[in-house]
Amino acid sequence: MTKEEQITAEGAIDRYADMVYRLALSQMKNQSDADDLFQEVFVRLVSHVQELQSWEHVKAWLIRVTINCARKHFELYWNKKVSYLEEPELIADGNESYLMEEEHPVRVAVEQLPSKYRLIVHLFYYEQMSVSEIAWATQQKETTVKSQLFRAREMLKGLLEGDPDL
Amino acid sequence: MIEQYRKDMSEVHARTELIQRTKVAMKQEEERLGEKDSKEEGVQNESADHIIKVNSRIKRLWIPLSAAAAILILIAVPGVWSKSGTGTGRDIQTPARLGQADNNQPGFITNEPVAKGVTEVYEMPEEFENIKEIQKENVVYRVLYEKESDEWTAFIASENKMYLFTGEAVDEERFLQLAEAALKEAE
Repeated sequence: MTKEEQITAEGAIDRYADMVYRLALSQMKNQSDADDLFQEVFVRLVSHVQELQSWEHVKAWLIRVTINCARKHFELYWNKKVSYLEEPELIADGNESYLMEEEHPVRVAVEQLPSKYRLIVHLFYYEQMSVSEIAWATQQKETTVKSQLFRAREMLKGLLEGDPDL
Repeated sequence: MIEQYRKDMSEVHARTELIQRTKVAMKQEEERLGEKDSKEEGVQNESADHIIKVNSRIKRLWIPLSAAAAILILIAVPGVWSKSGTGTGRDIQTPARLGQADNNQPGFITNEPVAKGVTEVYEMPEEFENIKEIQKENVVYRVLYEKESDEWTAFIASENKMYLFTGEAVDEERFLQLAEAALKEAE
């Protein structure tokens, strides 16, 4: 096994940092919470990395744990209150990530969706996961995922005034 | 529009500073887990030591206790037997040797192991073939007990020679001690 193939926590962060961060950001909707979630997920990976057999397993594990950690975060009373008040915020981070409503209308529309629909849309359209993979990652039935995807599309159509691509 | 979403999201990256900070946190977690593992290992070793100590304490206790029980039986059984035999109890006499061993008196029962002889042999007798080996300091012992004669026989294979050793003892452990002593003398 070469050094690149060897599964380590440090190797995982090199490969999947962006994927976890995007998922964290799509769930938390603010940079500070996304940073915390990102760190929590990779620190958790340290004690589980030996159980994971392949990079595909690592990827699936990271997605599932990111979703679960985000859910826990939202279960806290304070966050429940705050998440409904939050508007999609501007994430200005020097030269690396930048969001403005005028420039990124689709992303802003996705961020306006309720958390569970936002997650499904991100996993389906950005991570290009299948419905069964999403069902496994979100611990839901495939039929539930399909209906959530359908509702999310409907909501996005409304928000984007009838996008034919959806 | 979905293409637009993909394009938007692909512009989002985890910051280098965040990755570095996370790597540091991961290192700390690794160290914490390592320390935890070594502590658990220490606790396991301690408990294993404790078990060994308790076992050896039980073994040490077992020898004097069994000896004491044997002495009690030796004192009580002949007394009861003679009393029931005569029926009157008048002719019971306390033996003059009570409490003092006299190994030369015929019929005297003793717990002391007795070595009967060591013979050098050049091959292992058949009767020892199916007996489990006991290894002690590069010497292999196979021990056989004959109920009829109440005798123990050990086949001893040391590094250079083989012996047959016969003796009397209350148990295998004592007989082995006797065999070890006999081997030292023979060699």
